Amino acid sequence: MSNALLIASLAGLAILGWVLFLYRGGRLKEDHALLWISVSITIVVLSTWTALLVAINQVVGAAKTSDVVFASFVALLIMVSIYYSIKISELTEQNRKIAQEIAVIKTLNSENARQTSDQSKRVKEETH
Amino acid sequence: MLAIIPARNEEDSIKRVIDEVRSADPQIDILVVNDASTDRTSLMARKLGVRVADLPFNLGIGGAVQTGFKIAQELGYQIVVQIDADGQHDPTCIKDIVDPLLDGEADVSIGSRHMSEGNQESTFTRYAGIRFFSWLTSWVISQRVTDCSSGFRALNDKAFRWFAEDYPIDFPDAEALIAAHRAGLRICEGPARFRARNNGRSSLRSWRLLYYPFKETLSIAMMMTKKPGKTT
Repeated sequence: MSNALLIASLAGLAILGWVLFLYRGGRLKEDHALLWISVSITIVVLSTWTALLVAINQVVGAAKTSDVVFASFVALLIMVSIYYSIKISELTEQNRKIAQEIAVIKTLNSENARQTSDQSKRVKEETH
Repeated sequence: MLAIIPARNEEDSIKRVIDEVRSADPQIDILVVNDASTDRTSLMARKLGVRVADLPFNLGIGGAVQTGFKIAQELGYQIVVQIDADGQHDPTCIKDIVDPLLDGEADVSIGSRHMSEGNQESTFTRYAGIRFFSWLTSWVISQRVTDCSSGFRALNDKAFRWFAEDYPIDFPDAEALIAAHRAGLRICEGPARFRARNNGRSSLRSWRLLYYPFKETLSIAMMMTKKPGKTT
């Protein structure tokens, strides 16, 4: 195993350990943890399973086998980034709806309070 | 009828705008949608006795206007007029913009700065942008639009109820008109007086001015790939 593949497999294991630590502490949700566990396992498998790596290398024609590992890592990171962009877009939309809902409810409450106050004033004036 | 005034940090101009709207049409109700201002915009509007909707954080012009539509829907208004809080729009033109709705000729009526004389000229880049997107909007909806970026608009209940559910958030100008057309809403345009801002700056400045044409073009292109929704 080359130094590059050794570094890649250690990096994969480090990511796996860190993700499990975060998940165990409740700082990472299941779906996010599963995503990163998949990424780290893919890196570890690719950097330690030499026969698979050579087979992939023959198909894609990379200069070095370690290039396949790092290229796969970059591709996975791009996919993860797109996944997070989707999540952020969803959360932004939810945030906007909540903010609008708060503003609408507060305005309608003020409106009701104003109407109640006006009615009370009218009743008082009529009784006097 | 409800005048919706989206406002962000407009404490210097909000009083004048509210006073002008009231003197132009004493019957009109006013709603200021305070888009998380960091100054006294909300307080000043409240002191003047108008309704104020305070957004908890900044949503941008589209989000603020849509909040106004939602409130108009809840309160049962028939017509809303959208007016900028910076004093650009002359409220004496409200009647001209609203008349086509009252006559049943349109669902969305736009006040155009390019259909009347003596309006405040914008910068070249802004003018070019307005012209390009007005051309694009006209081409897409097969109807001549001279000022697609005008925020001086009136909508009947059919239109604002539709937009209360789905409204372009970042730069609602051309996109909203195309969405309206695709939803089967009738659009018309008439002359309106635009003036220099009393205060504040355009939301389209610095990097946003560069970002705007790309974002708007992408939004319009993507909208064209979707099946249009229909109003009920």
